[in-house]
Amino acid sequence: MQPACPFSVGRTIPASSVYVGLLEKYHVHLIEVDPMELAFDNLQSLFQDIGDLVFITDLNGNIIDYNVSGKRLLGFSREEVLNRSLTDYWTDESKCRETLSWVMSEASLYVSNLEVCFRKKSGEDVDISLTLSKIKGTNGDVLGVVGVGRDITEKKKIEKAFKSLNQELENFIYTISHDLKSPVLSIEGYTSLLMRDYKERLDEKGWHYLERIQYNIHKMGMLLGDLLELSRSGRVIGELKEIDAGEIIHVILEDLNFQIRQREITVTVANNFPKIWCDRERITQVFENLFTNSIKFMGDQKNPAIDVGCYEREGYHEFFLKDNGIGIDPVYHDKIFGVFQRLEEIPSEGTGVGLTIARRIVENHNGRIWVVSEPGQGATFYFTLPKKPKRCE
Amino acid sequence: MVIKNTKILLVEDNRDHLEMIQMVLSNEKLVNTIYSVTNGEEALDYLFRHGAYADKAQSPRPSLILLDIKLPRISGLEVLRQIKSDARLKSIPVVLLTTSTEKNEIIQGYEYGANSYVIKPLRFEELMYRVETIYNYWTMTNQLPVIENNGYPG
Repeated sequence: MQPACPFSVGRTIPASSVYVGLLEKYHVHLIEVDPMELAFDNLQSLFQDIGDLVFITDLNGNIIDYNVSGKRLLGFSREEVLNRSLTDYWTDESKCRETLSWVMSEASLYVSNLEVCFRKKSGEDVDISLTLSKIKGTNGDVLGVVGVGRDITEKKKIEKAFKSLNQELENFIYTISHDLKSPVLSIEGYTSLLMRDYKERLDEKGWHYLERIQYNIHKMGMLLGDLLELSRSGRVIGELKEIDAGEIIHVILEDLNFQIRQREITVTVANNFPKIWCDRERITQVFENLFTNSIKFMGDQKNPAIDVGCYEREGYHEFFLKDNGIGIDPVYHDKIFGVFQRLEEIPSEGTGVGLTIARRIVENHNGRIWVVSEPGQGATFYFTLPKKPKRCE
Repeated sequence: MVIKNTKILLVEDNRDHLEMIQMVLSNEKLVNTIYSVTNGEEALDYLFRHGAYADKAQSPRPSLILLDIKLPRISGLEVLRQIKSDARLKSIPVVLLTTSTEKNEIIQGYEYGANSYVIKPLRFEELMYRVETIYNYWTMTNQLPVIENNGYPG
């Protein structure tokens, strides 16, 4: 799609080479008796009426045009900004220069939806989503940059409110699940004591009631433990360090040695594991939860096997863990990463929070996790981690 | 092996947990006298013999302290800090009781000089084993030399 044409030249053809370039870029052709006038009329109104800030800079980053929406957003009139440097308005000066020179460079196509901050005439800052692309002449020379900026103050406000609400909710879950442990221990303790010290005085029915209380309180204890674990996995992420992923796998396989041998699973580990930037404890938990999940859902597979490896992608590592267990129907593929979403038809231990925790940890590392599977065909879990560490705020 | 009567100070604000731990410590295998208080202020009053605890005979110095971390009025960590910065009290082993698995609290506890800690489990049976093990360690295998109440107030 062609970007909006940033013209504001009135009815005369300007001498500036930038405009000549623009004419060519936006395919303005002379088609009728007074075509130039008509074309400029259309382009002029497009440039002015578009709801977003639009500006054009020359090769030095000086503003040579600017529309009405720009005035509305920043408060500066067209006359005030003409021939001023873009760095006067973009609060992060070095980022501004860096981005402009990148956009004007041969390698770049455009920069889109960059979240930046501009300074208004009133002195306030405004959050803007900025898209920049270069303007080229017919001979391919770069003539300048056209920028389109959208006010995202509201979006930022909502994001901030959302984040703080989410934080509050997590703290609440953490506190509640933590504080509920005390009464659980008390109930468990006293029923244990009843069963131990009053065994002879209880009839069969009384004993049965106590057994049901014990069963349920143990279940509650497990749920609480998982909830606590889950809220902590979202709350806490330690310092990112460069860790050998192969070593993480090695340690996990030692820990799970018993379960793996008991189920006679053949585990194949690739030898190309990279070094990754991560919170070691958390990423270990991701791999461990994926392994445990695969072991748990092996079904009656005669030759159970798990393959674990890594693909190198542009900018990120993609890890996979492939099993030949019972597989998962695609309708459940999103569901299994939700809280307490154990698929009911599959009898298994646990409360089903392992994959949720894995997802939260991966997302906190700015990665992604998903599964590819069909019932009866095994399942392959994938997750990605960026090669360069980038922390969530 | 003859087990000497061990005096234990139990500081725990949850009365259910207090009762359960008392029960574990006073079962037939262990011969103990247990003194219990339910908040941090009282714990310090007991140890420094203030107010109701002024009588030396009624409130003898314990040879082991089990101290809950979360306490009303004065926190368990503060009680611990005061115990470990007092020349006459700092040799008493202190075992922290906590429901939290947060490392920070435990690390802080060790920084203040705690000797050990117990994470309260969700099963009474497990609590029983954990308290017994810690008790055995601090009262039998790792008995500290008896120091008389030199210069002790009161």
